[in-house]
Amino acid sequence: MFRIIYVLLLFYWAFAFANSKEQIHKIESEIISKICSAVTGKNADIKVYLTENMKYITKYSKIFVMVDRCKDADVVIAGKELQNCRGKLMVVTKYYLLKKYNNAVAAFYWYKGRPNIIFVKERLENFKISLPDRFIKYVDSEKNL
Amino acid sequence: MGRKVWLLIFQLFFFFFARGESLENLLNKYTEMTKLYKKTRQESEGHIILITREDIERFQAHKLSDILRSLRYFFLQRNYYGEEVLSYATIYPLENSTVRLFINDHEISAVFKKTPLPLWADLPLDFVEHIEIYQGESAVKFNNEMAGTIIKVYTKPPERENSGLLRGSISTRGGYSANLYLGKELTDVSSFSFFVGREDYKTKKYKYGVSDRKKSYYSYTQFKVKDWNLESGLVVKNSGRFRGDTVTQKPDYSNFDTSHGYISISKIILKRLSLKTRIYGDKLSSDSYQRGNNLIAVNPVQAETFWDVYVNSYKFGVEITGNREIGKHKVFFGSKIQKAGYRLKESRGTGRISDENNESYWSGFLEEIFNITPSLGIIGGIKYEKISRKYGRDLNLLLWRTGIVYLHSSKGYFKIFISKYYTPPCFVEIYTNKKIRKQKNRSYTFELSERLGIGRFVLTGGYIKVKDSIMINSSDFSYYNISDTLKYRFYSIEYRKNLGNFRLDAGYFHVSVNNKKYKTAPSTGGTLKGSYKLGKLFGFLELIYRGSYKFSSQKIKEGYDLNGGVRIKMLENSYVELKGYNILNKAQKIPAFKDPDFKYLLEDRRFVLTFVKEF
Repeated sequence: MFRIIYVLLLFYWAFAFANSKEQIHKIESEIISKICSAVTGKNADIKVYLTENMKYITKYSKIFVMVDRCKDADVVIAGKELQNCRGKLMVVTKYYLLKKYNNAVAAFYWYKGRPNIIFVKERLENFKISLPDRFIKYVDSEKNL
Repeated sequence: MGRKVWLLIFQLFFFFFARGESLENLLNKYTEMTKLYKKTRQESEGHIILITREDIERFQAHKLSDILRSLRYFFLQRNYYGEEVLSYATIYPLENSTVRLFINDHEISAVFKKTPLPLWADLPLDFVEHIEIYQGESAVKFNNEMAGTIIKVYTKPPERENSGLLRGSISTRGGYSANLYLGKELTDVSSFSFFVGREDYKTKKYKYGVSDRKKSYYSYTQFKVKDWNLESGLVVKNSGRFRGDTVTQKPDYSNFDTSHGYISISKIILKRLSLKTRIYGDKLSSDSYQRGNNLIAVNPVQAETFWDVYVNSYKFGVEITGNREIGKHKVFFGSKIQKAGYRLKESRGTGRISDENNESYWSGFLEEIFNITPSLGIIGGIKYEKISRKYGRDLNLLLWRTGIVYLHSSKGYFKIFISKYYTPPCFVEIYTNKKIRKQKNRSYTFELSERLGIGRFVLTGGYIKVKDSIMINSSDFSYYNISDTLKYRFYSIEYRKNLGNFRLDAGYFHVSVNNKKYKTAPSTGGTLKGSYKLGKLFGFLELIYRGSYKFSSQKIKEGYDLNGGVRIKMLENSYVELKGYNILNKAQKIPAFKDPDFKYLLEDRRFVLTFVKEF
């Protein structure tokens, strides 16, 4: 019996999660949820405005409530350029967006071939956001971008 | 029993509580899952040697040759023009048309000699993400021409980089190199990368005053816009003062200019089928000039006072590839149409020779993987190639391959492949012998990998039967089909153990051929590598062994090539590296083909100091 359960679990890890796009999207959603939760201070019902290419995250994360207008959102999650969201708290998934938008307080993006997480110190201060201690190691200065 | 229960509890814990993971765990898991090689590697295509980005850093592999020198079943050597040639164990390194080199989707093997490495062995790896080496007799899935080994170089996807790199090196032999890489994501649908590098390489002074000096430039550019991908590459090389074609001394003057440029444009036209179409074009030229007494020109063999060979070649083509998954079946398909040709002009003291040839190539392949269970797959593939040439035999080739991949647990797997395929003669072989026939190969190979408590073991082996093997005649230097059937038997064993920050790799291989007179290169080899990584501090030592052998009347001693290096972080994003090549000065020497008394090294003892700045 033990062997059967063990082998089933091994196959579960080896194949069910084998680099599937679904699973990658799921982890992306979990990471973005944690970042948004940290910057908004909320664990549920975070009103979020999403760019078209980020809408998949609501499929995997239940802490978001999607809104249609940027101004109604607690946080904007941007995976591409967007209009008329200046000044709104923003989390981005691209490096060039992090450089472009001064209101992007955090990012989950690719850099030097690895996925990275960053919270931008000066921008967090502008929004008067204090992060839980467990996120401090991801904080870096804007000048290091 | 107690240990097993704890293991089960641990697995169940992971299973049920994965959702509550920390950000760090999620990031690590994401990093692992999104590794590029997990998307690109094709287990069904043979026995894979994977060189990850971390390996490239860990072993200070700045050039492709730094990786290839320790490859199992092969040895990398220089020929008498100072070019690097990767040759199978037991076979003297002249041309090797069964090794194919790709940069992403583009095959950069040459046209006239088919062998890619003389120009591309020193390819800088600053823009390379990882390398997959398929020891896969008759692999077809890359829409490649028929091959025994395929080296797939995958470049860094610019959208994952958003950074740049500057690298400069100086060597104790007086050479230097300078390289620049930049990769950026521009918008959510566009990105680009750019690389340019220059190397000045000098060898020590050998007998007769031979002291090869090479200058090479490499560049690579990539633009991605939506489903379009444009890539281009260029290498320009110049060398001089090499051993050359004289009988007992070096030429009074020698100069060798070569270049290869390519462009490749691809587009995904139907995502549901991963249907991709690609057009490409390559232009190559080489001009070797030698002047001196006792110069032996070949084809025909004549004693000359000067010899100038100019070869201008090209290839261009269009291809389509795709795949479709239907239940437990995954079907891969592809087709290619290609036109290639060359023009050769020779000047020698006794006159001029000119020649040209071209070929029309068409191929189609179909391969299916039938996953009987998630852990057991059966592979079956066929490929048809039709080659018609201006002169030389027209060829209609049909290869087949079949295999089984069995993942018997998360710790191990087993693979077996059987195939029948052909090696068509390449242009240079037809140029010397218009009647030369295709080489017929049949191969049986296996691989067993198992992770035990003491480390991971990989055992490979097999048997290859070759009829009408193409070889060079050492008296008139023409190519011909030998009448003997060659039978190669081979095995290798590799071991890897991670001990915290330290990693140990060891390997040994042996190849035997049924007829000793065809053994003209080492048949045994081994490697022992130790590497250490702690944060940004890297260190490694690698010992490469190649066994002794006999060539002509010469007994060639075994070689022990010891390389090592350290990398230290200086400032933020800046590193200094020190690497030593052939530190013991005991690496194996190779005898010159026309003068076996003259022996030289792949790399003479040198130390290279490198500065790296990331930005």
